Amino acid sequence: MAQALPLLEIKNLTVEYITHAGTIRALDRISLKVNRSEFLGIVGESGSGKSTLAYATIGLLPQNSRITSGSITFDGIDLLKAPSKEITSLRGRRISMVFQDPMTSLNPVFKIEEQICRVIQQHKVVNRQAAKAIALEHLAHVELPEANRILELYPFELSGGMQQRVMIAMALSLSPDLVIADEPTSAVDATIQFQILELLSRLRQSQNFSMLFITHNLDIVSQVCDRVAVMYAGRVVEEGSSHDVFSDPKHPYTQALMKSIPRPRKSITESKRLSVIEGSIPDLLFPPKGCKFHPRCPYAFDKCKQEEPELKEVKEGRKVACYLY
Amino acid sequence: MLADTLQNIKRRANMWTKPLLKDRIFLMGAIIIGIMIFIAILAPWISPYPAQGEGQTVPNVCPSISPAGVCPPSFQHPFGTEQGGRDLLSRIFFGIRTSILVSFLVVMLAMGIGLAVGLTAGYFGGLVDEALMRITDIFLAIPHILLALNIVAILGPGLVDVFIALGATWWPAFARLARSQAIAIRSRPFVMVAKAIGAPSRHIVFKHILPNSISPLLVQMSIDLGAVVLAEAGLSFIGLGVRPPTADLGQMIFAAIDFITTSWWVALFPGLFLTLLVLGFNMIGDAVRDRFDPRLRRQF
Amino acid sequence: MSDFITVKNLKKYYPSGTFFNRRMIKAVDDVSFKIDKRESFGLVGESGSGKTTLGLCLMRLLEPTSGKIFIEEQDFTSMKGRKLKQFRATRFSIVYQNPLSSLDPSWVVEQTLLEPLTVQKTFSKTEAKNIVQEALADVGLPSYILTRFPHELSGGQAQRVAIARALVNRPEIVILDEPTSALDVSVQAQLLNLLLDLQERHGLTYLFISHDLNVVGHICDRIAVMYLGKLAELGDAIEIFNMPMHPYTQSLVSTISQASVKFIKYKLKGEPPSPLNPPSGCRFHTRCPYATSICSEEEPEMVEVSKGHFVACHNLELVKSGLIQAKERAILME
Repeated sequence: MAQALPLLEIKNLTVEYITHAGTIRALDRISLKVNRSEFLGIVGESGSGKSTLAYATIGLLPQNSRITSGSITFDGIDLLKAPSKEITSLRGRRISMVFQDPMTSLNPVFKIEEQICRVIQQHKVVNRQAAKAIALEHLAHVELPEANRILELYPFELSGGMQQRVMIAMALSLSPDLVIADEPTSAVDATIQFQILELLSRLRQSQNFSMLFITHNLDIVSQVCDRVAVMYAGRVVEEGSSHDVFSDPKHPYTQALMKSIPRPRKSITESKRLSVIEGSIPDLLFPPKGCKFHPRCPYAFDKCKQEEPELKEVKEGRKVACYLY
Repeated sequence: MLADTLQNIKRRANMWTKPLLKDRIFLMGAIIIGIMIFIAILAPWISPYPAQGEGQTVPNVCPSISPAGVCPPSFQHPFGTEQGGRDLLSRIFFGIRTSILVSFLVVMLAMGIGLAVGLTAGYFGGLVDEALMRITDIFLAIPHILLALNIVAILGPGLVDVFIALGATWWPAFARLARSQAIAIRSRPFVMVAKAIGAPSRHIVFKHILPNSISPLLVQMSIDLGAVVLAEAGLSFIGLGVRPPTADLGQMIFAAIDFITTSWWVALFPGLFLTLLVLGFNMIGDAVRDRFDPRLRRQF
Repeated sequence: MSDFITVKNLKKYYPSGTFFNRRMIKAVDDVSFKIDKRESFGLVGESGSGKTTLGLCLMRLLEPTSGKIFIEEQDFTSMKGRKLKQFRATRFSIVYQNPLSSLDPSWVVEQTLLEPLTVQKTFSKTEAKNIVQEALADVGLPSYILTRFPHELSGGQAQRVAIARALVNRPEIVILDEPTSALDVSVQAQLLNLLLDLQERHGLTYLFISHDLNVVGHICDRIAVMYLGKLAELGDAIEIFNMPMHPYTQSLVSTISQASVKFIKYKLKGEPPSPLNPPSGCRFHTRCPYATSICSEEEPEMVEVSKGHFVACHNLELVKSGLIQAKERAILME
């Protein structure tokens, strides 16, 4: 089967942060692909590097970061080598981002109209009327009622859910190829979260874009994403279709993580105790030798402590970084 | 318990000082001020003519050049002499003493009053807050020169006037800072918890609100030191501050006006040292603010 | 058997608006329920539901506007001054969501843990230090943590410190306000297990406030579902999660990925209304698929649908049949 070229290809990416306490390797030789019209979920806990991945792709890493190896190729363009002018023109137009907390990512002193139109006019040579029309169109796409009225409001006059929809509208206003969403539903309530996820699924059909969906919440990943990559301490430990990974997790970390999620009990005889992953996330200043998960892994053997396993394909479309396979 | 508290303070202090020491601006400022403090403390011993520094009248060493006794720099008087024949270098050393003394005292007083008023107003709120803040507003509205004029009229000139005038007008800024901090902190969960376990207000204000409020005040303090030096010099310049024979940089500059066209050294050197002093304080203040401004979200 | 905690008609109103346009935010509006000793009672709801306000009122950290709270037959609401402080400090403890703001950032852990004891002055210095050591061990933390500042700890460690502090005064009732919401999944699991152990070891009663239904459904024995200051449903947790009767509960529960009521197809439309301007009659009627005319006129009373299971809804029959129909449809589809 001939495969179309991936939209985003990250190869061997390593990102380090220089802190006064030492160097932290936030991403360790990460390789990922996002195809056109595909939603890839990145799941991980603190320290997994998932946010670093998002910011590296959009080029918004903090000053104390260093990209020490690898490449990020977007539609044939090497994002790490391209001149900054090209990156700035890409950002917003072809790659856009939806942030976690809309309250802090929307500018509180400007009306919604100003904010959306500014983004549009930055990349498209149109007058304010035309920009406003585009804005209204996209506000309608995210199912915000009374879009005209919303344009006249300030961010604090909107609820969390509506703010997030505005952010999504902004992100989609220039019809980007790739949208990076960094925990887009963590700051909203359960029912609104549900609505937003459904909205994203619908938009996917109608707007035709790819998404890099970053979250710590395994449940919602399967709702929106075709494929998922599980990250731990800067490495991708498992990758595959979200259905496969969650119904049949192969990496010990993924397995343990799935088991430790609390679920409403079905009967009074069910124990309240949760199965836990012993230990804690490794200190990235002094990471363990070999596989970064081995200190907490119930199956660890000698090889795990010596050499870090590479991400290998164990069957079609399914990759695991573990010596068990 | 006291030993533990001291150790904690030491640890917290270390967290502050370590990154500061790496900041070049801070180091420069600290060196300048360090030298100035050294001069201020040891003025009587390191001045070439300590008695003259303190205001002793001396015979004119260059009657041929200047009948008023304003002699150019020479080997005996590296910075020359000021009116009356007094060694300028020694006068400057003693002047620095005055400036630093006043600025530290004033800022300490202002911070003390400001903290007391601000924390009380912020923590208790309601009528207490309103009353205290209106008083603060009144003091905020008074320009220090006007106040100094009035105090001089009542008490006569001197260091005390300067102290009262500047202290009275500087504390409102600290009070407002302290108040806004108290308001922000009083609703934080750890204060709620303290209330829940039955802690009295005294305990909460001194042990919780105060330590967490002090950071922006310390920043303000380091910035204000330079400003107060300048304000004090300004007051003395217009004659509302210390009186001769006490050495004072502002006053020396004023006295130099008459000789400025003929004797450049009388205005230049006091001005230079005044500038350095203020610059040093400002550098420290900038570095401290850059590191600890809560709005920059840096934590200790 | 006498009830441990009884809450009767609790109200917490906040005045708002201008002088000419006085309005009331009814954060908690006439809520009544009971909590048994050693029980884990869950309080669920979204933001604006009033669950946190209710939790704080239970401890009287916020003063209720009206209503009664009885702790073991004693009228807690009428206590004042020193008696109130004493009673509260010896019976209650609270654990907040974010340990970085519930622990004084300028205090080391030891000071924080000692605070409940030094404030009450009932123990000598050495006795207090021993209690602190015990509490630290109880939550599984090593003693070097005592000299650390909160920002030097990981999220999980810091929250354990917060829990240790909540144990130091030997409370009977612990209010947990979103205790694991700020933590990673794996850390959350460890902490929930810890809370269970502590509950058994010390005979604690938990009021577990959370918006995370998975956690509440797993840990709690009984739950109360709140919507805009009123109770929508109250009863046994397992029963409610398996067969939610209130339309709001149904929509909440159906958002859980492995809910047994996934067959409920309707999802709530629109935004939750503002607490400043709640809908008339049943607060939920504007988003309810079963709403009829009475719903916009009258507030529903709590009806006991089965032992200990209460629902506040006018159209229970409609809801029940809707549930059965949806279930049948789902079975047919399979």
